[in-house]
Amino acid sequence: MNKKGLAALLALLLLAFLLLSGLSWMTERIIHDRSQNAVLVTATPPPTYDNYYQ
Amino acid sequence: MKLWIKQTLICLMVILLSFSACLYLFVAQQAKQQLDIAAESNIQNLEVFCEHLSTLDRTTTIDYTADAVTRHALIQYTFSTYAHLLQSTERSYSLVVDGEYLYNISAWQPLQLLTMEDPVISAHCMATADDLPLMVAAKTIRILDTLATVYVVQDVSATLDQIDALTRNAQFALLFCLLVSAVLLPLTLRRTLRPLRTLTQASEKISGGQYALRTGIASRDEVGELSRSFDHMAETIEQKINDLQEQAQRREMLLGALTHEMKTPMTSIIGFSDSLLSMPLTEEGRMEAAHEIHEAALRTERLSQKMMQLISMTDCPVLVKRPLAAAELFETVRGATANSLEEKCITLETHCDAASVTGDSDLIFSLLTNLIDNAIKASPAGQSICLSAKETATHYALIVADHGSGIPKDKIALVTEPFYRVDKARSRKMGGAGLGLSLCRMIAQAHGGELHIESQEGEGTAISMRWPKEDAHE
Repeated sequence: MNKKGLAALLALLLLAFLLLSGLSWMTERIIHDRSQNAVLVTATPPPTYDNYYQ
Repeated sequence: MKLWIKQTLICLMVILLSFSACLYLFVAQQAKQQLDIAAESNIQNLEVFCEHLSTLDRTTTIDYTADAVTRHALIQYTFSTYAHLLQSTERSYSLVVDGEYLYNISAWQPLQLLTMEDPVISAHCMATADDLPLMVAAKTIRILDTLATVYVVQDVSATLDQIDALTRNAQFALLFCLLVSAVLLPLTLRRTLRPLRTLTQASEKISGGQYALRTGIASRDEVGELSRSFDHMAETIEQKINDLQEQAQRREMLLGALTHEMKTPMTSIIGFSDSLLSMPLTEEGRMEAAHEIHEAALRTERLSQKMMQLISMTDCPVLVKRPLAAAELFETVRGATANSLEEKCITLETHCDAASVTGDSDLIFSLLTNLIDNAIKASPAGQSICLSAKETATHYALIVADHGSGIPKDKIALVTEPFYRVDKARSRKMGGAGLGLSLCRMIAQAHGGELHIESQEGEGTAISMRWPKEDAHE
């Protein structure tokens, strides 16, 4: 195998490593995003006296 | 880089990227789904708990206007009763009234994890406390005229462990797929590309001179088609090379024979001219020497003319075919051979069964004069030569038959070879160069036909040229 082939093989191995470790990183990101965002539900305010008869 | 290595790397790259994309989508969707399920479960627990707690309003007989301490005590008691029933090691319930814990026995501080501010009535989130992943849900309800916030805190370590396990499995699957592909792909590709190696080796051997070599690959795919095409090419090359070798050999033999044939008249010319120059000869002797020189020079000229014709026939002659009236053609031939016929008192009989024949007039004329010339040489004086034209549905035939000495059976196949003569001494004496029948055979071949010789020694010879009919060209 010549230099070009070795470079291609190394690139492939590096890509495989990145993709393998990327899976863990992706799940951590999903959990992290979920921790950052709280879902809030607010009460519907009752109609005021001024606009009650409108 | 070898083709199989290149193909392996490309395929591995494609497999890696496509399989990774599928795994990423699957794992992301599964992780989100697991977290959604955990959050939904927590909210449902909270709703159920709040439902239970709100029954206090309908069941109690206490006056709402009672003091806050009594109401808080009742709420706390009811809450703790339900909380003790429903809480577990992973899940705990807390109650907050006026920003302070009315009940909280969990290790976590829900108020720090999720803040409930007016007008928020319910909320949920994911948080981390003491390195533990927690799902927190809260809801504000009015109970016994008191605004109370119920918190449910759920430990979701098991869910995250499931997600981790899923991720690890996906990583193993990707690694396994990559390793299996890295082992199987080179084997498969090398096997697939093996015919190409065979082709390369075959082409190297053919270029090295083994023209008879064939790949013999019989597969029905594109490589098989290429191999068949290659074999066909090799066959054509072999045939061409054989033809060229045969042609070169023929030319070499022709040249050798020509050189040999040229030597005889040249020897005569040199010998007699030397005699003229160096010896005192009588007038009669000088005339005889001059005559011999003249005869040798004429023989050389005839030889060179025949050679020119032969060479022009060898180098792909261009034929101008047209219909030739047989009677007219025969009369022209008779006129051209009249002197030779008269010298030996030979009669030329003509039979025109075919009114006309289609061919190159010059070449047909040359063929007939050569055949008649040979027949005259072979026939004894006073005999006759028969010249006839015949026609069938598909072929023309021109036949020259004599009643001469004939050709021995074992020599019939050789008489069309250049410079071959059955009786060398007699033929040379009669001015023959041994090229006439070679020329006739080439003329027949140029017309797409053949020269057929039938002969009985001592009875005579019939030589016919048969060639297929086709449209005449002007």
